[in-house]
Amino acid sequence: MTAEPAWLAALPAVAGQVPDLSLCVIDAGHRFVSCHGAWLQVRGLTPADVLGRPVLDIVAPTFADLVTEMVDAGLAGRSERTEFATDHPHDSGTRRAIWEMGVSPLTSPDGEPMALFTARNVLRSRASDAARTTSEHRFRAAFDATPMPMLLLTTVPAHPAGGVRVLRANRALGDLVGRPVGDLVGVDLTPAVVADGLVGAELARLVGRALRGGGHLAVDSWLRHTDGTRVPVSVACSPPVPATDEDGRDRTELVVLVRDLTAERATHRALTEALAGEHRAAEHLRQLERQRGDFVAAVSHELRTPMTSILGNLEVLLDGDAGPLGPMQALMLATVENESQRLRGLIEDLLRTASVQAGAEPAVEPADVDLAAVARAAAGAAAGPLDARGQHLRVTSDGAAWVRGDAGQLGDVLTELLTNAAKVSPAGAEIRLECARSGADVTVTVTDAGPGITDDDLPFLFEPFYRTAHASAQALPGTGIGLTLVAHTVAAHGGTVSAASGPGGAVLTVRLPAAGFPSPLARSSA
Amino acid sequence: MTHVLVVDDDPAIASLVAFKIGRMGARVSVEADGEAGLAAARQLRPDLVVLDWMMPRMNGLEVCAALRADADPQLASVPVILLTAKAQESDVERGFVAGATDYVVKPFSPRELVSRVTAALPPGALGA
Repeated sequence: MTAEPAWLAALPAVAGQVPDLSLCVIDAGHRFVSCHGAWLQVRGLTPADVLGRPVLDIVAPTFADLVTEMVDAGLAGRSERTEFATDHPHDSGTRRAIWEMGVSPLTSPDGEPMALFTARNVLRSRASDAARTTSEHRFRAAFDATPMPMLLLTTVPAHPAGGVRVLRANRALGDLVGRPVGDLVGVDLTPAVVADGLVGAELARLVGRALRGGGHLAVDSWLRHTDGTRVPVSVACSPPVPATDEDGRDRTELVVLVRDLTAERATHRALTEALAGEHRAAEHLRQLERQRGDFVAAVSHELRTPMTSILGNLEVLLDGDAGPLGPMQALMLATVENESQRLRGLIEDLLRTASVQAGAEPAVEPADVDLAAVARAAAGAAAGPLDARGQHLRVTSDGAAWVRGDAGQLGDVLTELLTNAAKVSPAGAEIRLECARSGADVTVTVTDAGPGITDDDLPFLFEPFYRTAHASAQALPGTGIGLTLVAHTVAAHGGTVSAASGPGGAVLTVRLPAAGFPSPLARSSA
Repeated sequence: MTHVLVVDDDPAIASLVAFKIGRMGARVSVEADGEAGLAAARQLRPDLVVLDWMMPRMNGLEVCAALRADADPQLASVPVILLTAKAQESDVERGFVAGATDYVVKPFSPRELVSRVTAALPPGALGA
């Protein structure tokens, strides 16, 4: 068995360093002097199997001519390259190979001409190139077609400022800034570009941070549109990816994802403006209410002070404190006092109305109140006007009727309804007050014996200062404010008041949520 | 003789109150604004002060608080009846917080005021 020559001892190591490479040295007699690498493995042979044997014994007959020609060329001092594909028989059928073959002249230490034959199976590297190309195509297609604006940036090793350049921009980004994609490719993201106002400084800083391995969080920035406007954007960077350029130089690439904030900003601005407008309007209303409250306070003082003086002096005179009065003087002063008291009542009604309208009415202090008990107390309070006309009040209730509210204010409501009933009913008539539970509510109905309410009056009954045709015709005392205040107080208790004309007269019904059921109190303690 | 100081910027009310209290047998002094009222109170040391709330310069609440804070214990404890057109419960509360002894809402009856003045003075002070 022939041994490998010592001067070729390095050959196996060289062959082993390059994947899929085979190296063979062939002498002038076309015999293997040495052979190592992938080709032998594909053929299922070892270097020892072929040593000293003629090349044509080993290579497949298909290639015999080709190999002979190449070996001859090498022996003759020429270098040649060629490539062909073949299927090698193997245990489980055949194995495909694409051989890239070359031959170079070689001289042995003894001065013998030889041929160095190289063969490399490039199938695997070709497949991997093809796969890479496919993957690259897919990436580009996705990058170009995605509706999200994106930039592929790369570091520029040769750039004097060590800058970052746009390697690729997609259509969405071109649309966003109003430029063809081609105009963007190759643009350097230098400090000058930032200074020229083409992109926001935040974007450049983000890219810088991302290239140093940080800053993947999105930041708000802007891009300059060709029409000169700034497009507000949110930008985020992919982590940097090492890559190689066409000249084999290392570079770093990263993808910048851009989100257009124009619509978002516009919505936000519109909302903020609307909110500010609301605030201004609300503040204006509050100011008006304060002014009205101040006005009511000032008018109260201005009207009550002279009334105090008039009524006080009348009282002193009528009491005889300022000297005795003749009967005629006393009668005339009594008339003045009556009319002054009427005027005072009118002023108090006016002030209460103004106070209610200014929202300065005392707040409801909610407590559990038995409306039946309040009704009985109101009957007592209204006894004066009823007795004066010889009228009879019948109060009926089916036990306690609890509501949430202010007993004093609710008492005023029922007293007002009873006083009203007494006014419109004839002398000696019967007036009825009925307090009852009705589902989730408590109702109090006051039925008078008057002429009822006409359809003309009904819609206006609770309007301030409205007087029914009957009240005006009969010159009944009153200012038309009582029922307005009733409606206001009942509403503040989360209830309603309604009026109807029944056979016996008018029926006014106050309906309040029963305690224990959720009650939409219009106002709580202020 | 029992001495009552009436402080009210409305001369009609001031004179009515002065007349009615004078009829009870008290000596009455009248001042027309809060500052003058406070100065008069310090000088005259009255047995009772009838004080309007809404007045120029010092209002009644401020005068009342100043009286209560006075170094003279007699003046600091002088009965003060506040007169006012402010009728709301919160106003009444503010009046008492400022140190008022009693509170009368305008329009008031002179008879009622006299009853309150009598009640605020020591028994027999007016010899009635």
